[in-house]
Amino acid sequence: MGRFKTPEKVIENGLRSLKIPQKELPSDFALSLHHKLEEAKKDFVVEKNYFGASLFKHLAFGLSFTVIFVLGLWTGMHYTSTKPAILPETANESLVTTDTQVKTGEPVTIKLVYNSPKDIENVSFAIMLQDGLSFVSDDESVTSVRVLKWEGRLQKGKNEIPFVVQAADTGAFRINAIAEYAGGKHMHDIKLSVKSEEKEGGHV
Amino acid sequence: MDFNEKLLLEKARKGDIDAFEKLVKNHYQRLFHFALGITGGNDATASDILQEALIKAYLNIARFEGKSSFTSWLWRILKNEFFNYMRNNDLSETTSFEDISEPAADVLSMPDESFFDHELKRNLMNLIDRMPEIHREIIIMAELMGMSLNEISLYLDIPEGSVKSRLSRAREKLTELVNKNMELFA
Repeated sequence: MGRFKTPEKVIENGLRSLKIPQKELPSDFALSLHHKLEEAKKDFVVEKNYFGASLFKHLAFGLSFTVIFVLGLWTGMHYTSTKPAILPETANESLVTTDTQVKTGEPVTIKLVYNSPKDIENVSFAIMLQDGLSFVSDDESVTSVRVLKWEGRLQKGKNEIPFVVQAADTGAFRINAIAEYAGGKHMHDIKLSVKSEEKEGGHV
Repeated sequence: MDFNEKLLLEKARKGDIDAFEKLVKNHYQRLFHFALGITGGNDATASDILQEALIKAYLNIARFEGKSSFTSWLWRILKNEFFNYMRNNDLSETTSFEDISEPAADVLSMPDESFFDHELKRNLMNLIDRMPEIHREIIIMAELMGMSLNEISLYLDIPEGSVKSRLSRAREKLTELVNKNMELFA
């Protein structure tokens, strides 16, 4: 008769005996890794995912639905959306949140509008789509990513940044947009509810 | 991935080392644990392998498209590097998980069924290696590394329910294999 009577006993004892004991990381692990990453950086290749101000000439425009989010900068005025904006704690930060509904597969144009009291240079823009959303564009390098980030500027007065997205499935999705510059950060948190039935569209 | 992690990722995709380190540092210990299994418990070698794998992840991060979670992407990169290391260093025949597992404290005082000597461990590990990767991976994660269902779900980017059913199926497969090869455990 074998030592172990059943396959289950073999597995129970065998897996227990094969368990890998835990050990602490060597204390110099992080520092050593950092040095190696510094050396490896020369081999780092930045993929072509970043664009300047010419980005939006490649974006298509949706035909059926446009959502406009307006953000006033610096002065804390001009917040218009389907819901009252959350007022910033300081004049130099703001967050606008809003909900809207669209249909599955229907392109929707989202237009971020910034009313700036003066010219602002070196603005970092980022638009981040939740998994399940995609950009609509005739440029593959735009449609192949879910995060767009670029450096640009804001002119005194009205600035419009449009982009088009669509969702392949129903559900609730989020889009985050951020414009950051020295002394200020302004964010949009956009919730898109995607339905399969006909929904009334409209303008904000 | 939350808003701040997304921004870190975007910085890392441009080569920012600090951003990359912030993204991956919470995974060091867990991945080191896995590397220990590959290297037979050798701290220095496990540390080297893990660092090489993380460097590879850093150099390829610009290609991460966000179709899966960052955690599962990182796991795939590192797992491939670990197994490449095993193949390149022919560790499957010399050093493996069975070599670092806890030895029996006192063989003579233990019931026969609880004693699993080196040969039996190697035989079981060989059977595990013959399983489809999807089952082998989850057996290693759950049984040998002791990862929780939630942790496995994060690394494989699948729901916990799927982890449970996959693990159950993997155990069935392993039982079938052992049953067909019981003479190895006589």
